[in-house]
Amino acid sequence: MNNPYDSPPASPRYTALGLNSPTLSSAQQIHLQPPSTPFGEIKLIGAGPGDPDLLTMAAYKAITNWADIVLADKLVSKEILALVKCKLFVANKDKGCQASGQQELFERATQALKEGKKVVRLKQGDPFIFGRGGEEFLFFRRLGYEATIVPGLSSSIAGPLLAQIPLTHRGIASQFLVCTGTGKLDTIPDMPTYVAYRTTVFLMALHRLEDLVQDLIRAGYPLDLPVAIVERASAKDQRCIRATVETVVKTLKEAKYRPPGILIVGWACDALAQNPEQLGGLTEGSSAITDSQE
Amino acid sequence: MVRSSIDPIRPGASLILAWQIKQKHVVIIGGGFVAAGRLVNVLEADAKVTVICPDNEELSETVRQHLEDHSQTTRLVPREFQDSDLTTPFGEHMFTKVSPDASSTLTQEGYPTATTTTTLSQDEPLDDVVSGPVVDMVLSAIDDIPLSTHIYNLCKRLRIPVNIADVPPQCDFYFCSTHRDQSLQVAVSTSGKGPKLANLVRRHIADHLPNRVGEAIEQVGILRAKLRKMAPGPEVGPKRMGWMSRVCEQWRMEDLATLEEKSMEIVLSGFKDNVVFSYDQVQAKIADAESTEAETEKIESKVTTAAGDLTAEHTITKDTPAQKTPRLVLVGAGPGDPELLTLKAARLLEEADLVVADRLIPMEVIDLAKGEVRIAPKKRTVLTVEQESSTADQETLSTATTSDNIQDQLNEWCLQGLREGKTVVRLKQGDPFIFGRGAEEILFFREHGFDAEVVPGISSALSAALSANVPLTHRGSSNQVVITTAQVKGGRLSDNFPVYDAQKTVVVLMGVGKAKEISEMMQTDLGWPANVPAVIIENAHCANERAMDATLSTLAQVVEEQKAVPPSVFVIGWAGSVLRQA
Repeated sequence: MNNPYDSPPASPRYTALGLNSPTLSSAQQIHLQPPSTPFGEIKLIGAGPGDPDLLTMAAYKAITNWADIVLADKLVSKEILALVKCKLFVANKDKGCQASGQQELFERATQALKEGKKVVRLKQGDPFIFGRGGEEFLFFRRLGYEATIVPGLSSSIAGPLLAQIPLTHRGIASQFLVCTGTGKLDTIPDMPTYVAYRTTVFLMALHRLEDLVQDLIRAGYPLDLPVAIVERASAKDQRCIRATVETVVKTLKEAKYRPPGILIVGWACDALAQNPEQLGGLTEGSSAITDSQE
Repeated sequence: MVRSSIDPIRPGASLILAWQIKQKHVVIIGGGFVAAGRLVNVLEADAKVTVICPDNEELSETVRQHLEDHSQTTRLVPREFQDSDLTTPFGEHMFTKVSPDASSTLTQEGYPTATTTTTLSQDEPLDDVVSGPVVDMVLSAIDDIPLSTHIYNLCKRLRIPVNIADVPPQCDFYFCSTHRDQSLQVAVSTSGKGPKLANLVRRHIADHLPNRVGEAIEQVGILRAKLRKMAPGPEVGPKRMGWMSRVCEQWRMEDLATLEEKSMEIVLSGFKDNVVFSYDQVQAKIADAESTEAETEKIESKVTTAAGDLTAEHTITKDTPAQKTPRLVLVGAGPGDPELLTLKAARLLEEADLVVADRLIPMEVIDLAKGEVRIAPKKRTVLTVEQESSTADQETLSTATTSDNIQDQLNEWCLQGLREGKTVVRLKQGDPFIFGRGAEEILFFREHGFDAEVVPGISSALSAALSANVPLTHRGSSNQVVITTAQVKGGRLSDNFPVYDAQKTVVVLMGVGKAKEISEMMQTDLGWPANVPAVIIENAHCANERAMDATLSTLAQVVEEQKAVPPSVFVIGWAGSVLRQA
């Protein structure tokens, strides 16, 4: 089978020059200018939840063998960054610096592309699931580059699995919803309604858990509905904390939350729970991955 | 006088029997679609069959095929029906000329109500039938209503049980909607009132039967026969029955289904003392016996080593399997492209002694395996004879390879490997926990004493959208994503679709056949605008991937025009238009 990630993209490549043409609409401009100078390539790659073993083959090959420069988010795990052999730049997106960090990333990417380099933009999880990959894709398209996108394991999916929580399970959950727990101004604008046959995964929710639980209760989520918190999914110190809507705030306080983590809400949380203790307690380490670091 | 409380009689039912039609003579008139269904039914019950149908386009290919395949027990009479057909023994059409008198006597009767002008009184025996009926059952499956009625009247006079398709009053019996799993047959009757409902009820029952019940019944049948042979006397009858019932009650169906020569012997050895060994006890005894055997073998092979001057390695390899620790890993294979396997999945494939894979995983992925590979059998096209007539609520379901049976088979392969101490990789499409039934497998193996590890994979439910340049979330366009199946159990449309939210993206799996219903429901009941983008992605990540653009209102139309086929996903929501270029 052809490896679509090792061969140059089949789509036409565009130059920034074309975009400057005043007479054409942006859609028409795209097919105009063939490259006259060495032309860079960009791949937008999902790095998965953190364990290097959960990188895709495509991602692994791209960062170890293909790229001239890797531009990574700070959230990408150290173990994965350690695999990078070429030039590496990690964006500083600490609180207050997000915008400037992103800006610097774009600048470096643009620079490298203009030099004809092969650029990997490495993002935590999956680029298109709360990864703002779409925005970056548009940025590069405006520059004249059509990025190749490589999916990664989103922690919203892999996290539950690694804690032995099936997001779908016959007779229990026929759908799942992924959303953020934080909207603009620290609110959640539209709390999804309660559906018994649904598992809901909240990202970026745990720092405002108390408010979120109130929102859940207002939206009709039952008090005894099982919830689970998976911290540091796929890392060696992964931990799963189980509770109910009613008890989760207290349980998390006692367990002393260590970010990052996701919140899973729904009956499927208990589908594979082995014993009563597990229904309201901690599971240290990842039960699913026993040999992640060999 | 005090009446004891007995259950009241509720009249109006059909008498449900299991008719032993084996070796008896059935005449089927007609050769079309309905006749084909009837033919299958009676052939499965081992009857001898005469099919009367002109050898032209009326005779369907299916009927022709069955006749060819069962030339010993079937005959085709390639012409229109004649009255003498009901007085001709099986097979004689081939050799004897039909007496023109016999047929003319009866054909003189007027259509459609032959009894009114009959020339023969019903008490007067017909010459042809004095020696007993030569036809045991008549099934008419033709459109010609006067002829059907004539056949019906004829059968009444010849006292042959008859079923005239589509005419309930002219039926001595109706066909039931049946489910068959080897010797197990479940029949559902609505007394001719609701054939489609009978089908649905039958499906519901079939879905809720225990796993492998058919096999369990076969094995119990063998066990009973063995027991009877071992303790034949009528004096032990009650003990025999009591012991047998306890075996059936104490063993789970799946375990009964695994009975074979050796385990049956062990089970039967408990009969003398009226003991029922549990499944686990029997397994333990077998393991004991095997290890003793292995021990002997080991000693023997050591002897051979000494004698035959073999290298020491031979003896070592011989007894390693018993010492290995079994390991089971459920691995997500991703959406198909081998490049989208995780490093861990690729490594486990190489390390595994046994890989048990879903059917649709591409060979490029399977080829990474170095050990034994077993691939799920193909789901056989289920023979379905759906008939809307009240007399014909018969639907034959081949249970040989339904998805549940396939699942059982895969589980069994894994267990076998684990019991041999192997490292078993259960390779699943996409992600094991996203519509992959992985959690059910974990529970199954846990019951059998094996804990499974799980390795996530990229689910096409999510990556299909990415592959078609649709970000599931995008600032300003989508901050929530719902992934749902279109169909729930029984093929019904799921009623859990989300209400409209401008910031929500909906991914629908298994929706191709339900595009119209989905589009209507979302617009009418759930408030989704007609012009919201809907992208159809077929065969995501495969060489033949196709992405088609529609809106919610044109979804069904595009699916139809473009002939979209499963596996396809629909991505519905404003995020659909962010990156896609018209």
